[in-house]
Amino acid sequence: MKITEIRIKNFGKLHNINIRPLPGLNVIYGENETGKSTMQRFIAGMLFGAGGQKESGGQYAPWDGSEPYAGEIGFMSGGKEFSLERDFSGEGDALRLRDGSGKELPASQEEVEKLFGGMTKETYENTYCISQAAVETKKEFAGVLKNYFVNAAYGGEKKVDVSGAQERLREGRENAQQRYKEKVAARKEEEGRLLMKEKLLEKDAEQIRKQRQEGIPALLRRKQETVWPERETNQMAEYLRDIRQQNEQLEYKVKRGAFLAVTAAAFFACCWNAAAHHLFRSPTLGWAALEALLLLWLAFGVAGTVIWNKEARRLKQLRKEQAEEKEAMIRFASIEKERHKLRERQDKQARQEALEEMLNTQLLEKQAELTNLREELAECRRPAEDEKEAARQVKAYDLAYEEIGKLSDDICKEADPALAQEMSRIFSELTNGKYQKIGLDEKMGLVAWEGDRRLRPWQLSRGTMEQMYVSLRLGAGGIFTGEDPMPIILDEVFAAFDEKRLESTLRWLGKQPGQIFLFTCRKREMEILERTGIPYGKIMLSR
Amino acid sequence: MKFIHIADVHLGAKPDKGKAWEKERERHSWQAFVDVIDKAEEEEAQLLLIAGDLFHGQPLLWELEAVNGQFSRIPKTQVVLIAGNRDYLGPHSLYHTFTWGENVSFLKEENICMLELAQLGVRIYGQSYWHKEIRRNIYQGVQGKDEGFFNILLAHGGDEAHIPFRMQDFKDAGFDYAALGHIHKPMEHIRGRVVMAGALQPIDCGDMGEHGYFLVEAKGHDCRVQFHPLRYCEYRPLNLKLTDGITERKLAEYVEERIRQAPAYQIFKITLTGFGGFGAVDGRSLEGLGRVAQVVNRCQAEYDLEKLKMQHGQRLIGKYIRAMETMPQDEVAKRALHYGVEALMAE
Repeated sequence: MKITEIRIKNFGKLHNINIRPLPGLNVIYGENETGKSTMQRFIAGMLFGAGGQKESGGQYAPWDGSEPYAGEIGFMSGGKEFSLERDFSGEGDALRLRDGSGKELPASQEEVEKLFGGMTKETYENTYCISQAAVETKKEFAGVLKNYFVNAAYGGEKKVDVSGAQERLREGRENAQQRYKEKVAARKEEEGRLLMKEKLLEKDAEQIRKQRQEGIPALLRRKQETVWPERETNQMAEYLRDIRQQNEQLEYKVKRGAFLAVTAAAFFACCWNAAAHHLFRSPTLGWAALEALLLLWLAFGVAGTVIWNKEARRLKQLRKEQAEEKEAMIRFASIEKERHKLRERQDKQARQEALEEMLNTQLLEKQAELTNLREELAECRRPAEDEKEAARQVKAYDLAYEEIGKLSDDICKEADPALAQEMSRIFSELTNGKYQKIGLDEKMGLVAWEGDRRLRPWQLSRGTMEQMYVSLRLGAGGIFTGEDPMPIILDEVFAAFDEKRLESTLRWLGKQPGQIFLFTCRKREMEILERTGIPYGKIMLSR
Repeated sequence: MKFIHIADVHLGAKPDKGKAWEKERERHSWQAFVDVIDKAEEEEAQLLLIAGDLFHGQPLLWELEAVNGQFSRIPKTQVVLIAGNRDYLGPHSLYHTFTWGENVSFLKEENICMLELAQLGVRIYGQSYWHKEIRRNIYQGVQGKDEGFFNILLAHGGDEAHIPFRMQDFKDAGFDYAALGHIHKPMEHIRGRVVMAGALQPIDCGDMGEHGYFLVEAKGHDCRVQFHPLRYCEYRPLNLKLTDGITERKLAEYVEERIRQAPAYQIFKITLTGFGGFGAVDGRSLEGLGRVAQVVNRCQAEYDLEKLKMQHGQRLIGKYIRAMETMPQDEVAKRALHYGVEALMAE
């Protein structure tokens, strides 16, 4: 692709400029502040858009809004003429594409890029569009190169964006990881709750066990407040009755004794009277009367004695009965006591058994609950299907990420030699054969070899480093655009080059089949070109 | 003779933990169980067979008492039950000491034993789990003897860790009816002969479809088996194939409408398939809708891998597909294949 015409209406400090560059090398010379960088921006902007007002910040918009902020380029692609017009004033850099006959073509950036051999803005900025300020390729360029190799090495309609794909996988992984974490956290929370419950249950069970061990003896030790079923007696009454009975008995005995004495006295009196009568043999009426009286007295004494004796015996019998009764009562009471004791023991045992059984049941119940809880815990510890799925997804994203990285690296390695060869060829020419070999490492970083020594760009001089990057850019650019390369823009790239290096570089540039725009603020490039007779187009910018 | 055959009642189960309807679900197994008792009374069934896992775990005393209380409501029905792998007779099991009502026979022997119910002319063979697992097919070679009795086998198991029997084993084993439990899907495996009762109500959202009890009418040695669903809860699969232009919001609205139209006892397990794009629609908002037990997002761009391999032979996509296909095809590799292809094919 070659630019045949550049028409700037208004772009920064450039107004109404018409340039017809040569298809080969063009030197755009201008002192500082003459608009070289603006020109370079214009060309790049015409090719890929300036990104609208937003991206450029309206840096190049005319001060006076009435002036058109626009331009046009004519170019040849695939042997056909085209013209491309852009209006930078809108948001999206409105563009119009015409063919050689002036017929308007369907125009979108993608259509235009097809005419550029599929080169995108990003690629262009990293290869053919080189300015001194940024000769090094950007970090993302490694990804661009990778994509390029992955896609271009085998030429296909479907473009694959490796770093984009990896970015998508990373995002997918983040999401899955988030889900996984949530599920695990929920499960852990539940597990914590169950563990707490388990602890409580275990404590309960332990307590029941303790109660079973200690509680029963404790229960047994406890004093029973038993009310013995005593016979209902009134001891005072009994005592009083005893006293009374004793008195009565004494009284009876005294009375019986008295009567016995009376009887005895009557008997002796009778005997005495009878003997005296017999001795004196003088029965008199008086005596007989006395005898009769004595006999009566005797009879009275006997009767009294008999009565009181009987009475005393009756009382004795009564007391004996009472004593027996009491004894029987005492005996009965002790049997009753025994029986009660037995019953008490049985009760105690039954109570103990009931208590034991109750505690056992309670313990079994707690143990059943514990078994169930442990089952629940085990279930809780087993990750649920959705959690496992999330974990699987995380792993799958990792696997896909790694595999794509590995495969694309493999592909790059396979395709690398072509680029390394091209780069080395350019580098060797630029350095007059000082360095024979440069290439890319597995991370798409630049390396140069001096013999067996592997050198990184920052290990070399500024000039050599710049030459390395120029070689990479030109080499990669060549591979990107193939047979119909894009114009190369070199903006003050050779400022750090000495005369010798600059000459060899210019010689190499002069041999290139593509179009080159070399921006410079020094005259030495032109001097060398003229001295060596390399043909070039001269475009002078002035204030 | 008429009898009812149930299994896997899982009393005490707590399905759908963390869901809004969790408490409600806890009651379902009890409600369904009481319904079965009502039905036994109403149908005047002579026999109620419970083929294991009456309880979800080790039964508690109050649970046993409640169940026994329910059995006492049907004194004319003989209840015969065994313990399954969940309510197994562990060393601390309350089953060991519990005293059942007169009409209840608990076959708690570890080895297969026979219970003869002379008044019904029935012999029931069965055993209980004493451990969580029985990896031996203890029913191999067990034969019911035809001595004028109606022979029933009451068994629990049918997978690798729980008496790995096959339904065909019982075909010619001399049993007039094999009343099975453990597998939660109700099924009449051999018509009128070998029946897996299934869970009385679903226990988790993997138990799809209808659940209930079997009512069997036996005449001579033949049985007429009828399945009666109980509908406290039913899990339904809802497979949705997403198409272009779907948004999470539209999806949620659609699902909500589907749920609204469905009977109130149905709970859904949603599976999303189709082109889902990357993370834009993942169905996560559906989990918050009522009566959605689970959302499985299987949204993967369903690419024709063979075609892609042809188209992209030596290029990254082709290489990637082949590389993933040579890996051991586990779940991770399968997903990784799709994720990678999807990421590479994305515009």
